[in-house]
Amino acid sequence: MSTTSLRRRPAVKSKDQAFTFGRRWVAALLTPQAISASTLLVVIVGFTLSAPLWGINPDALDLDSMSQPPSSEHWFGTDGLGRDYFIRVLYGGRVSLAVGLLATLTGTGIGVVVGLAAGFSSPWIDGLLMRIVDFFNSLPWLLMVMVVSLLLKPGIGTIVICVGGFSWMSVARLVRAETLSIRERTYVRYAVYIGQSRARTALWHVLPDALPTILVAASSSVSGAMMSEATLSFLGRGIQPPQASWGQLLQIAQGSLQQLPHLAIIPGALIMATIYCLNVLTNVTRQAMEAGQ
Amino acid sequence: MPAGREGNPPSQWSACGMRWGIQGRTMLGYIGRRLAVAVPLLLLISFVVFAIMHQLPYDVIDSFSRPDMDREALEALRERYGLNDPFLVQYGRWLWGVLHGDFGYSLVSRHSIADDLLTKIPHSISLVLPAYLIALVLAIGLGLLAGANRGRPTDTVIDTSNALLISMPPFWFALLVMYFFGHTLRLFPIIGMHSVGRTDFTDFALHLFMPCLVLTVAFYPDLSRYVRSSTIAQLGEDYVMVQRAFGANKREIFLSHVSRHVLLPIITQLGLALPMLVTGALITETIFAWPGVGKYFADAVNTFDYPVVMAVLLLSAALVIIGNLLADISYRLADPRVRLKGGVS
Amino acid sequence: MNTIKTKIAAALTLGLLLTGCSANDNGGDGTVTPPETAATQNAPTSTKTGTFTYAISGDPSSTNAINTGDRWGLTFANIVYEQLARVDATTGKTELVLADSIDTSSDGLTITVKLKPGIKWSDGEALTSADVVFTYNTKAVKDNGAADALWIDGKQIEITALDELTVQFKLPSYSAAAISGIVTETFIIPEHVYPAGTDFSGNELPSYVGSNGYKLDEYKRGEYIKFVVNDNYHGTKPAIANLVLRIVSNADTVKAALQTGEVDAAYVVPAQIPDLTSSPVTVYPYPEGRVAYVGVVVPKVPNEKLRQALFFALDRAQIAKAAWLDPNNYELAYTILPPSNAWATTDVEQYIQDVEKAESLVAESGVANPKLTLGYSGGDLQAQAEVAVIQAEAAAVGITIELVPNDNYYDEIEKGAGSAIDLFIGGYIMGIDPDAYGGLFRSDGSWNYFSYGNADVDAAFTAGAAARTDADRHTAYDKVQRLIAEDAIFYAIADNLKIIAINDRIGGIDQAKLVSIYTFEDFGKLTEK
Repeated sequence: MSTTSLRRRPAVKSKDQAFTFGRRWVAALLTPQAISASTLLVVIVGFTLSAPLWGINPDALDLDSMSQPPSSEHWFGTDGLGRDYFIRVLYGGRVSLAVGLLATLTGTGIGVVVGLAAGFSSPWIDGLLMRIVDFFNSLPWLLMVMVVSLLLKPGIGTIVICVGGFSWMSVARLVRAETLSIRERTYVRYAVYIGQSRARTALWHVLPDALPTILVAASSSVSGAMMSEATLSFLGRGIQPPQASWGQLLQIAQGSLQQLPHLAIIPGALIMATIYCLNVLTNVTRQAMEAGQ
Repeated sequence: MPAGREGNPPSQWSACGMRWGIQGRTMLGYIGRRLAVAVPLLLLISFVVFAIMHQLPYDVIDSFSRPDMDREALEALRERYGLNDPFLVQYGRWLWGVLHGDFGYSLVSRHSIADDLLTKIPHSISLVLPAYLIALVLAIGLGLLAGANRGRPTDTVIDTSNALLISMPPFWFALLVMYFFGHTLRLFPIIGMHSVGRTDFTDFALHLFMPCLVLTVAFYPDLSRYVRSSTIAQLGEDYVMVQRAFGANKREIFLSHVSRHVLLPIITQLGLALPMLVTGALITETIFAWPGVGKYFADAVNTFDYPVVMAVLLLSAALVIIGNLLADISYRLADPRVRLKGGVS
Repeated sequence: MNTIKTKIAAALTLGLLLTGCSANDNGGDGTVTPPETAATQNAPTSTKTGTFTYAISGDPSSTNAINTGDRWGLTFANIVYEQLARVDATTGKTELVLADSIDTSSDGLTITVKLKPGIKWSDGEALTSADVVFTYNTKAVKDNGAADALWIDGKQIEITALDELTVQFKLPSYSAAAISGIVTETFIIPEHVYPAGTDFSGNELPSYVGSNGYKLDEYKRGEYIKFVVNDNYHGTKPAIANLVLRIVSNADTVKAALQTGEVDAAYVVPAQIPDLTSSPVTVYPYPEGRVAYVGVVVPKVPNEKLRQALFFALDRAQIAKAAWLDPNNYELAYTILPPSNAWATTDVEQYIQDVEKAESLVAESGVANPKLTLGYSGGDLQAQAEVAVIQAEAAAVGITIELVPNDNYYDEIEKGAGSAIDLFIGGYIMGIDPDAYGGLFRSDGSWNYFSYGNADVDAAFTAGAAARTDADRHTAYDKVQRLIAEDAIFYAIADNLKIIAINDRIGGIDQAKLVSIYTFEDFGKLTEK
C-alpha cells in the first residue's frame, strides 16, 4: 500500500461498512410492523406526489358550492371557498413533506458540519462550538420560532430556516460524540499522521463511519420537522393561504368543526400516520446501527 | 463516561463545568460551577433578546404616544426615554429595569407587561401542573410495567400506544376532544377558566377537564418512553442479576431497587419541565381560550405586539436555564452515589 | 417504604392543593356550589339567572368616552353613559335622551338644549349643564382625538351653560350637519369625578361614573366587563340585574358558547348559522348602514393606474358572496356611502369587473410584477374569505397580493408612508349625515386611514356642510363620491347585515332595539323569560 493511494481514496472499510449496514437495515425492516409502516408511507407519499396528475386546480374558487360534504364529484367535499378538498389535501401533503425534508436537510447539514468541526478540531474550537450549542439549547423552541417568523415573512423559506435553524443541536452533539470516538481509530490517526488535511480526513474517513448515526438522527428529524411545520401553520405563522399544508388545512378546519368534522380529521390523521411510519422507519435504522456495534 | 450508565447525563450541561476545567469536590463547589455557567448564559440571552428588540420596527414610546403627535413632542419623548443613547447604555438601562420587574408596556393594551404576567402565570401553572403530574404518574406506572414485561403483550400494547400518541399532533387531538366532549356530548364548557362571576372549584374543574386532558396526553408518551427504556436498561445491570441469584422475586427487585434507579433521573426531567409550566401549553391555551401566558404570547404574535413577545421570550429562556440548573443540582443532591463519592461531574 | 415514591405522592398532593388555591383570583377558599350535574349547568334553563351575558370579540380599544371610536368602546360608552339625544342610523329620527328639548335658532347658529330635571349620576350627584359643558369642551380639545365635529372652518363651537339645566351651542358659521354632529356619540361624563389636569387623550379614564341604567362594576381586561343596575337611574330600572360583556376572541369558541348557553348573545357570521339551528338560539340579521371595503394606504401605492387596475380586477359580487354567503345578508355598495343612504349616488366609476381593462392598466402603470400587501384580521372569518377572493382575482390580472394577517393592523396602517401594509380590509358605520364621513376622507380627518389628501374633496365636504338647501348638499356630496372613486383609493364592497344570535330565554329584544354599533339601543329593556 503506498501513501499516495491513501490520500486519494476513502478507506476501504467504508464501502464494506455501507454494504453490511444496508443488509442489516433490510433485515430489521422485514418485520410485519415495519413492512406495513413502510407500505403505508409509500402509499401516502405516492398519493401526494401524484397531485398534479389529477388535473384539478387546488386554488380554483367555486362560490356556488361552498362547504359541501363529500360527494362523487368532490371526494372529500369542498372547503369554505368551494375549493376541492381532496386535491388540496394532496397538494398540502406535498408541501408538508417537502418542508419536512428541506428543514431536516438544513438542520442535519448544519449539525453535521458543527459536530465534525467540534469533534475534530482543537479543544478551543470544540469548546466554543459546544458553547454555541448550549446557547441554542437554552432557547425555548416554539417561542423562538414564532419570534423569527414575525421578523421574516411567513412562507416555506421562513419555516425551513426556523425549523432547521433550531433543530441542529442534537445532531451536532451526536456527530461530535461519534467523531470523538472515530478519530481514535487507527486508520484515522494514520491519515492525520501522514499529513492529510483535517478537512479531508473528516470528509473521507470520519463522515462515512458516522453515517449510520447521522441517518438515524436525520430520519427522526424528519418527523419532528413535519410536526413543527404543522404546529406553526396551525398557529398561523407557517404556510400562508392560498397555499395549503396539512397543518394549515387543520387551522382553517377549526371553523367548520361541527358541520364538517372531516375537514379536520383527514389532514390530522394523515399527519399522524406519516409521522408514525417515519418513526417506525427511524427505529428500523437505529436497530440496524446498533446491531453493528 | 461514569455517569453515562444511567442513561443520558442529567442535562446536557454536566460537561459544561468539566469543559471549563473547574475542579472541586464539594456540593457548594458544584453549585458554584453551575452558576458560573448559567449566569453568563442568562446575560447572553438577555443581550440577544435586547439586540433583536432594538432591530424591531417599534420604540418604547409607541406604547404611549400617538401617531399624530407632532415631531417636537416625539423627539422630546425620545430624549426623555434615552432612545438616542448608545446601544450598550440602552441595554444596561433595560436590563436594570427587567431585574427590577419592569418589563415595559404592551403596544396594544398599553398595560404593564409585568402586571399581566403576574396574573397569567398562575393561570398557566394551574393548567400545566396537574396535567404534568398526572402524565408523570401514568408514565412511571406504565413505563415500569412495560419495562418489566419486555417483549410480552403488555409491553407491546404500551409501547405501540406510546408510538401512536407521540405521532399525534396535540392540536388535532384538542380539536377532536373539543368536538366530542364539547359539541357532541356537551359535557364541558369550552371557553376559558371560569364561567363569568363564578370562582368556585367545581366550575373551575369543569373548565379544566378538556385542556388538562389534552395536555396530559401530550406530556405522557415521551415520559413513558423514557421510563420504559430506563427500566429496560436497569434490568440488564449486574445488581439485578445478583439479586436474582439471592432469590429475590421480581416484585421485590422492582420496588426496592430498580424503581429507585429509574426514578432518580426523573427528578432532572422535572427541572427541565420548569419552563413548560409557563409556556408549555401555548397551543392548548389558544384553542381553549385559557387565559395563561401561552395565549398571551400567541395573541401578542398575532397583533405584532413586540414588547410582550420579547418579554415572554426572555422569561421562558431564563426559566430554561434555571430549570437546567435546578435539574443538575437536584440530581446531584438526590443521587447518593454521586454525592458520597463526590465524583467529577 | 420507598422514599422517592413518598416524595412524589407528596408533590402530587401539593400540586392538587395548589391548583385549588390558584383557582380563585379573588382570594379566599373556593366554596363548592351545591351539587349540580354538568348537564343542568350548561343547558339553557328556564330559571332566571339574573345575568345577561353578551360575548364580544375583544377588549374595547378605548373606554374613554371622549375619544372612543371602536365598536366595543362605543358599546361600553352606550351602556354606562347617555347622550343628549340619539339619531337613529337608519331612519334619521332624533330621539331625546338627556335633553328635554332642543331648539335651533332661525339662522341656524344657536342651539339651545334644555336638560330633563332630576337626573342623577350613579354616585348620587345631580347631572347639570356644567357636566354637559365640561364634556363638550373636553371633546373640543384637538389633542384628545375626537374634536372634528366641534370645529367648523377652524373655529370651535362655543358651549355655555345658561343655567342649571340649559346649555347653549353657538356655531361660528352655518352647518347643516350641526345637530347630528353635536349630539351623536357625545356621551356626557361627570365633571365632579375628574380632578383638574386629568388626561383625556388616552384610552382609559381613572373612573367611570355614568347616568345610564347600568353602572360599571368590574373590568377584567381580556376576560369580561361586568355592569350592575344603577339605582340612581332616572328611567325604568333594567329588568336584568347584571350585564356581562364576555371577551372571547375565537369565533368558534363563541359559537360553542352559544350552543351550550354559556353566553346569551353574540354576533355570528353567516357561515355559522347552520351550526346553530339545533340550539335554543334565534338569529336576528339587521342593517347597520355599514360599508365593507378595500382601502389603499395611498403613500404606499402612489401609482394611480395600478390602483385602478386592481379595482377593475375585482368583482364585488364574488367577494360579498364568499364572505356573507346568502344575498339576503348583504347589499352591494359602490361608493363611500352605504347603498341605503339617501345621499348615496351611483353616478360614479363603479369599477365593475373588467379583466381586460385591468390587465391593460397594469401594463400602462409601468410596474413590472406588481406586488402588494393586504392587511386584515386573521381571526375574522369573513375577512379570510374576502382576502382569498381578492387574492385570486388580482392574481388573474398579474398583481400578486401577499396576505398579512395582523389582528392589530389599524395601528400599522396609521403609520402612513411608514406602514408595512399597502391595502387593508375595512368597514365603517358613520351614520346618515354624509358630513360625518369627512372624518375618514378629509386630509385632516381623525380617521383618515388612507393617508389621503385631495383639496377638492375637502372643499366639497365643507361646501356640503355649509349648504342651505338639500339640492346644494346633494351636488356637493355627489362630487365627493365621484372624486374619491376617480382617485381609486377606496373600493366599496357591500353593506352587510349584522347578525346577532340571542338565546331564546331572553325577551324584550324589540324594546331594547337592535341598532348599529351599540348592538342594543338600551340593554336595560332586555328581560329574562
